[in-house]
Amino acid sequence: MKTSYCVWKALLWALLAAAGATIPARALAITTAPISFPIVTLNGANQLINGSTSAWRANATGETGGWNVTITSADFSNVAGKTIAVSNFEVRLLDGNIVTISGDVNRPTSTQTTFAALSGTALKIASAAAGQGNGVYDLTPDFRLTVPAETYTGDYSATVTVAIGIGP
Amino acid sequence: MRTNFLRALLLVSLTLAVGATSASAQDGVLPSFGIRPTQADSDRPETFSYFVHTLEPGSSFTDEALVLNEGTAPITLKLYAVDGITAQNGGTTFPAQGELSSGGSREVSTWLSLPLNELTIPGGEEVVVPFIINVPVDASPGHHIAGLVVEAPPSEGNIDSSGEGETQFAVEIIQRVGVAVVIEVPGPQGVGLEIGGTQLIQQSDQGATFSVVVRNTGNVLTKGEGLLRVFTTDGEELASTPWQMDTVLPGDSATFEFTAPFFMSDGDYLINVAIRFADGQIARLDGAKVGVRDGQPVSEAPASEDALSPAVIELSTQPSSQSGIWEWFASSKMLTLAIFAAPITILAVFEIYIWRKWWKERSER
Repeated sequence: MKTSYCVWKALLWALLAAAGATIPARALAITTAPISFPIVTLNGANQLINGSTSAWRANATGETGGWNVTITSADFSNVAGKTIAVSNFEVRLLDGNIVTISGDVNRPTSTQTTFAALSGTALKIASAAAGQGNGVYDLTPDFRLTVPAETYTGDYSATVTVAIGIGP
Repeated sequence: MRTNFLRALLLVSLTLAVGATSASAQDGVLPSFGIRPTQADSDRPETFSYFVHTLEPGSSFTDEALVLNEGTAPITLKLYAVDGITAQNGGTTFPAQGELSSGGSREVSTWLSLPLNELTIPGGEEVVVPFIINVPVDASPGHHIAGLVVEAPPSEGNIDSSGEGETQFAVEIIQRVGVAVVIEVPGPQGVGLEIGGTQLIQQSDQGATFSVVVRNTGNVLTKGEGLLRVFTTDGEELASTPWQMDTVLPGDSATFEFTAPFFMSDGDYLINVAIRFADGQIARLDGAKVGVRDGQPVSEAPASEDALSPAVIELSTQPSSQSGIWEWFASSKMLTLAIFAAPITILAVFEIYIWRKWWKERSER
C-alpha cells in the first residue's frame, strides 16, 4: 500500500514539476513559405489576382513576454525599371488561419482580418499578448495583387520582409 | 521508498524529455533562428523575453544576447541594432537595417555597440554575443527603445519562363527576428495620447473596418482600450465597438485598423472615439464625419440635409466563436490556474486519505 502510494505521489510530483519547469532554452522563430502568384495575360484592364502560400510556422515555445509578426514590402519591379506600386499588394490574416500546433491554447490573434495594403512601414498581422501565445502556431496569410491596367509586360519581383519580434 | 520515488521521477522526466526532443525536431532544413537575452530578473518577468535596463545618462552597461540556429543546416545571419518603432496596429517592431525611427526612439540604435555584424552558426548551435549600451549624457527621461535583429539571406522567388504577353510576379522573402532593448532613463515620466483622426476604410461581409490614428505624446510606452461609437447626425447613438490599442512607443504615431461586426447603410454619420489609458486617463475625438454611399465610405461626407437616406446600422449576424463566460475563462489566468490547481488538489486529497488511514491503523494497534 505504502509503496504504491509513494510511486503515485512521485508521478504526480514529477508531472507538477514538469508543468512548471523552466522551458527548454530556445528562442522565438518564424519559418515562412514562398508566396506565389498566377501568370497574368495583360488585357488593358485592372486585374485582381490571388497569391498563395502555405502555413508559416511561428515557434514561440517558452515565450511569455508577448510577440508579434509584421510584414513590409517594396514595390514590384522588372529589369526594365517598370514598377507596380506596393499599395497594390495586400495582405490579411483570418483568425481561422491561425492554428495551434502545440502549447498554449490562448493562441495569437490576427490584427489584420481584412485586406490592407502593404508598404515600407511594418504592418502587424498577428500578435500574442504577454502571458499568451506560448507554443507553436501555423499562420497562413492571404495575399492579393491588383495588376494595374497600365502595367508593362515583363517579369516583376518584390522583396517582402517578415519579422517576428519580442517587445513591449 | 526513496529509491522508488527517484525511479518514478526519472522515468517521467525521461519520457517528457524524449517527447520534447521529437516535438522540436520538425524544423527540417528551412531556416529557423532566434535571439533572446541570456539572463533575466525574476522580479521583472518581461526580462525573460527582451532586454530591460534602467540606466542613468552617461552610463554604460554590458549585456549578452544568445543567437540560436534551430535548424539543422548551418546559417549565416546578419546581426544589427535598429531603432524601435511602432507597427501599424501597434506593438514594438523594428525597421530595416539603417532606417531610423521618426519618433522618440530615433537613433537609440546608436547607443548599442556590437562586436560583429554577421555570424555563421552550425545547425542546432547557439552563440553568445556581448553588446554594450552607452547612454548619452543628454538622454532624456523615459523609455528609449532599440532592437537587436538577426536576419537571414533572402529566399529567391521563382519565375518560370513566360509566354508572349504574359507577366509573372515573384516574391523573395527576408526573415528577421528582433528582440527589444528597452532603456529606462530615470526622471519625470509623462503619459499622454492624442487621437489624430478616424476613418471608415471599407465595408465587407465581415463588417465595417475603421482606422484610428493615435500619437503617444508622453515619454513612456503606452497602451489602452478604445471604444468607437457611431451616431446619426442628430446625435442618436446607433452602434459601438471596443478595440484594443496595443503599445505605441513614445513620440510615435500609429494607425490602428479594426473591423466592427456591423454594417452602415448609406447615409451620414458622426464618429466618436475614446481611448482609456494609464489608469483612467481618456483621450477623445468627437464628431468625425463619415459618409456611406453604395455601401462604401465616401471621402467627404456631405452635410446631413444632403443625405440620401436615413442612417441605419445593421448588426452582423456572424456568431461569436466563444460564449462570454468561456471567453473570459480562456483569456484570463483562470484556465492556467485550474490546470495547476487540479493535480495539487488530487494530491492533497490523496495525502489526507493516506494519513487518515495510517492514523486509524495506528490507533487500532
